[in-house]
Amino acid sequence: MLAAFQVSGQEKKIWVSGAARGIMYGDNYKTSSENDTTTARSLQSGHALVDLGINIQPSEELLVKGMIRIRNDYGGFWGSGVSFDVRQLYIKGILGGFLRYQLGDIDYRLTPYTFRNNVGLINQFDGVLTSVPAQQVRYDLWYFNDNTWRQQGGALDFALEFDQIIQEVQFEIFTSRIRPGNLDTEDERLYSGGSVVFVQSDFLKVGGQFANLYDFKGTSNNNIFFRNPVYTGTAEFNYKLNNTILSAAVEAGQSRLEWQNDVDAPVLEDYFYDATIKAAWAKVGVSLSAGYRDVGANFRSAGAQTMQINYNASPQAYQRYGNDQSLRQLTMVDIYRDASLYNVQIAPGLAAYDPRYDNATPYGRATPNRRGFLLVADYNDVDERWSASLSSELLSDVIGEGTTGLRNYNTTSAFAELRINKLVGWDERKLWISGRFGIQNTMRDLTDIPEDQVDLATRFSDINLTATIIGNIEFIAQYRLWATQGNELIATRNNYSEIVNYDPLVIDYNESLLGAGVQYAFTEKAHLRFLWQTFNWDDALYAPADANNPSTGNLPYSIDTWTIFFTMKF
Amino acid sequence: MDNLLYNEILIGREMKKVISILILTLIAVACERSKETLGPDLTDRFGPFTVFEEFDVSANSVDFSANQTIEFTCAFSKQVSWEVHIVGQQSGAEKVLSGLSNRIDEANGGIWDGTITNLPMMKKEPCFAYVLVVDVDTLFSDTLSNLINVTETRTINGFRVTDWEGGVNDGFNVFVQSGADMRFDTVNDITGPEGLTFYEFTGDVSFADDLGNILMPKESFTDSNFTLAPNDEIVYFNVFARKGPSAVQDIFVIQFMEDDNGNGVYDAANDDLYEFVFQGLSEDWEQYSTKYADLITSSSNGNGRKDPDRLIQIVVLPIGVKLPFEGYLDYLMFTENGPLVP
Repeated sequence: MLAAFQVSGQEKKIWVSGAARGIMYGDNYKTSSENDTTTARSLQSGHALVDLGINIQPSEELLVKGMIRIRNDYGGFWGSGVSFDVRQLYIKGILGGFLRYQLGDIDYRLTPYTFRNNVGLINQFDGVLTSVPAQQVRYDLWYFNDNTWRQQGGALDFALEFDQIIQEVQFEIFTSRIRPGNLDTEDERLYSGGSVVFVQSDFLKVGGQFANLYDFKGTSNNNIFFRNPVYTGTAEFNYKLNNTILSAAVEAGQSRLEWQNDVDAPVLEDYFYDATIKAAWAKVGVSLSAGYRDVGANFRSAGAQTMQINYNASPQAYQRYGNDQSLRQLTMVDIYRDASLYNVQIAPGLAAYDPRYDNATPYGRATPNRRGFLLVADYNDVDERWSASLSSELLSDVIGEGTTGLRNYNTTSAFAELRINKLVGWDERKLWISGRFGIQNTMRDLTDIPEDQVDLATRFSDINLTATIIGNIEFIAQYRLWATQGNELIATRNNYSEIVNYDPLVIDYNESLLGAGVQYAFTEKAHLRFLWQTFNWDDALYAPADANNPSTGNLPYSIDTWTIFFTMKF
Repeated sequence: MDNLLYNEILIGREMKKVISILILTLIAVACERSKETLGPDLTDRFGPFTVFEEFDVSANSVDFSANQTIEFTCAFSKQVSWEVHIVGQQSGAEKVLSGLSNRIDEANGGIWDGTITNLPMMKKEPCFAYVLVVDVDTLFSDTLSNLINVTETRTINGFRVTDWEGGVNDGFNVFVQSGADMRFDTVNDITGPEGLTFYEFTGDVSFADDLGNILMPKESFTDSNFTLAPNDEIVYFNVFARKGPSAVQDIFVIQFMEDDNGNGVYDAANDDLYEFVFQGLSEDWEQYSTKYADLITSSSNGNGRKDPDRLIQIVVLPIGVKLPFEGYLDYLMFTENGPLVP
């Protein structure tokens, strides 16, 4: 209905776009432990919301968009519990027929080492059930598949074309405000950068990128100025040799992190390089790629190393539990459905991470102090009957943490999907089954110094089923397991992101999710889902407190959840 | 065909250049990378614990008003989380120095400049000091054999509204409701948060929310001859407060009245009024500080702008909301560029 609301004149256009959803969760908490008699056994929560975006296009070269979010948490009535927020506002257009600009909200990225919204390991593998709330979280946070970060500022891009040697030179620049100043002790903090890419032909591109998170001098009484510039160079090569498509990509660069006028602050400088080659055979659906990278221990790039998940945050549902009302640890279910656990702005330094969910590359490809190989093999049946992939990342420390011994990190994941309906010729129906198994091992074995030894192993697996019942009604089911066991020394860092201490971690836990549901597609953009899942958390190291000892580990529990999920985009 | 061949040759040449530049860059920067390990040495962090140097102090008396400091020293076999506690023998004032290192000294946070961690503020008194190591299997503690004599306390930079040391300031106007067990008076006690005197607001008023008030004109402040900076972002108001055991309600409202029209008095119809509200007090003394810019606007009948330089009077209101009230205040003070450091 709303999508149809469009006013057209000779030049001016106004139309409405946006999204709507209604979510209702029913959580039933259970624990076999006698040490929890206080936690509420049942919780209901949910909300309905609509995002109304007004698009105004006064001319072909100008577009203004404003979006308002109206949200009502269930239980609100006559205004109580209802919120109105401005969710989005930008102006964009083209000047002089060649200079594109955007002011206000901008979604931006550069390269994996300068400015990139990296998806953590726990969020890399969508399942048919877990992706339902996760997609809404990503929508709320402006996390898109192109790995952009939502910023508030301005961006320009344009290109120059040439007749000889070089086809085109592409220019992009942006600046955004990360933090307002307070006129007293904190300067305004800006993030600026850009790229120049020389497109020699379809075969070759060479570029340079720059990004800098910095304090803007003079916006407060503060005389310490933060600076984190990153410079990189890139080259991409593509070539077709008979039936083989060959490609190669290289990125290398360096960073500097400093607090000018702070006598206690270090100046951290380091470099990285990353090279990948890939061969693909489209006719048989096979591709192979291999890469090597070396990222220095002091490489700092705020735009590339800010994690999506804020591991210092606590989940909103059942935030405290047990008779001693301890904080409940983050779980994968919280990560899939709780938007408050995520960062929406890039931040300097290296934030704390949770080794359960990625100990090898917590800060993405730009994780500092890592070197090693990446190998990926993909197969996609040309008739779409099945697909498979295998990826393995074999990394090690560049420099030892507190010792000359280096950790080795092995992250391997295998995936296969079978589209049974294609095999038996049911073109009108879906019958898909897929499975993934992954490991991540961290090892540092120095037999002469027992304190240095590290042996941490994470296992994850995922099985998904999608089957058409009738028409647009589908049955979906998923099982996901995540388990970590072993020991590690977790580095704690000061405000300058230097390692100052180590927290010993001993862990033996697993969490699993089993669920099923029915989904109905009204259209490609509107779905209604009824889902049920049971989630189990088990900590083998849990022991309740007694007269002489405090409790250890975390109280085991399970949560059964019914969900009604309506989503629509227009 | 010729063009294709030319292009391939050109691509080959360009690729060679790019790869050569990248390789040269990598070789150049590779030479500069540090080979040192990251962070503290693991054996220095997780090895056996012993004390290499006894806990000691650089002087047994100190005059903080002359900007003197004293240094605590101690050395361990490995990095540990340590705390040095300095406690005023008469007032109970406490300063806690802490760090993570294998030495306690000036470079690692072992310097005491006369500030305190927990109220009350340090008095002119003897202090005892002890060190705690809290992250080894066996708790380690050692106490200095000698006392440290504080001959003079720090000079605090700021503008006092009142510290009650001379009683209620001349010019302050105290109004007390006619409730039950009303006590609006100064209290002399060395355990007060600053000096020897603080002020008590106690009573039970069943017919009004407030127990009364104290009106404090600026010309009657203890430090009356000052003008606050006009920037509300850098001016802070500070006060020490606690509640008593009989308190059922414990809300303090402090009103800041400006003279926006410059007629020399606060005129409710033409001047601004801002408020600082704090409640949920502890029975231990705590510091409450607010930036002038963060004051709540009660009325903006003047210019509607927070102008610290136009402050003309303060009113302190203990609010019992018709319930028994017992609260204490001390050391009402303005500071600039940050909250009071006691």
